[in-house]
Amino acid sequence: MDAHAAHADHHEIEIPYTVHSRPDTGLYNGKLGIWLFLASEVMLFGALFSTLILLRTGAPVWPEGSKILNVPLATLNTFNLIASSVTVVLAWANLRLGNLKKGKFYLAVTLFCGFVFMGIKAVEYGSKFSHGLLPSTHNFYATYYVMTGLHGLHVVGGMVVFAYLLMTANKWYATKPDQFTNRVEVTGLYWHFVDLVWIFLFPILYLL
Amino acid sequence: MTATHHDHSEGNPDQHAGGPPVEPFSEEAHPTHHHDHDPAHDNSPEAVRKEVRKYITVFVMLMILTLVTVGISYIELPTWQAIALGLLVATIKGSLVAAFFMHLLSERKLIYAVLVLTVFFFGMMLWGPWHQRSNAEKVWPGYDLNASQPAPKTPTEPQSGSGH
Repeated sequence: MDAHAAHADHHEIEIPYTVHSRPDTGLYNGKLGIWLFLASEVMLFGALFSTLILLRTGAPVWPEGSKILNVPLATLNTFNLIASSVTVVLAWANLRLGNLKKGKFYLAVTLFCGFVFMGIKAVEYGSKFSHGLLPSTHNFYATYYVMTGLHGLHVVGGMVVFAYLLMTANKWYATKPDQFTNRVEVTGLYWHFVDLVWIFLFPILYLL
Repeated sequence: MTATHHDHSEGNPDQHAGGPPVEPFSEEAHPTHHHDHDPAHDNSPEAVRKEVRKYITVFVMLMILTLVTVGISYIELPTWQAIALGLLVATIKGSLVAAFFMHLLSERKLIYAVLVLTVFFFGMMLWGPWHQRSNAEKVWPGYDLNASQPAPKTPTEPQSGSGH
């Protein structure tokens, strides 16, 4: 009991299995947690893909994305997002090697890619808005805005976490390097999922 | 896994020696000499560098496949073939991301179990609208996908045994 009280003095709460694997799951809790979250995300985006199939197969005519959306900009954004997936794994790899400086550098590059993605998206949205092409214009635009909009919100969410990781990196890495490394891994898993969604959104909305 | 369990396993990895037997999810679930975070990852510099090389290779492949996707869209294919081909390339790209970046190639069974369920229900969700479109002809003879007024006024009697 005394040991517990003394422990509570400098660490308020000790969350179990942030670093070590639970014997029954073989995973640290954060990783199982993020995968369960991603499973629910698959269903969220899945519902939208399902809606798109329903609307598209039911429509007498459906516009070709490549004729009305900006394919070069979206291609550039695809490269950008894939590159940011690589920089996250590079950040994680460097943290595992004990190289905080390089780890932070790659985290910063990833965050920068997030800004580039949202910037390009803003240009695309802006040009559509300025032509009066709104979600209410046609079901094509409705699905386009909802799906890319929800995806964009996920990008912003990831950027907030990367900013937080960057701001707290020194403190966490000095005291709990393994826990910080796992946080980067788990955030990376989320970020790859966001990348994966885009890999499907890009051809479905822009090209097919 | 008793109530008195503490996660202070730095020095005593064999923390369950006195407790009831624990049924691990896989044989390697007991971290014996790894005291690192996840036994699935080897943190030795050689292993990490090998992984990094793999990531770069996957990165290059993803870039090439993105160009392929865009290239395909310029070929004048019938709509359904174009969609099938586009989705095939996207699936290959997605698999690369999941297998290597999300390191699903070497992951715990529990995560595979979660994903099998997810893939099943995701598939059901996509199959639903697809299926009802393709079956529309059975419910409404004369149903024309390309007509601007798809549904005739009077649906025919449903066939015996079908739900609606």
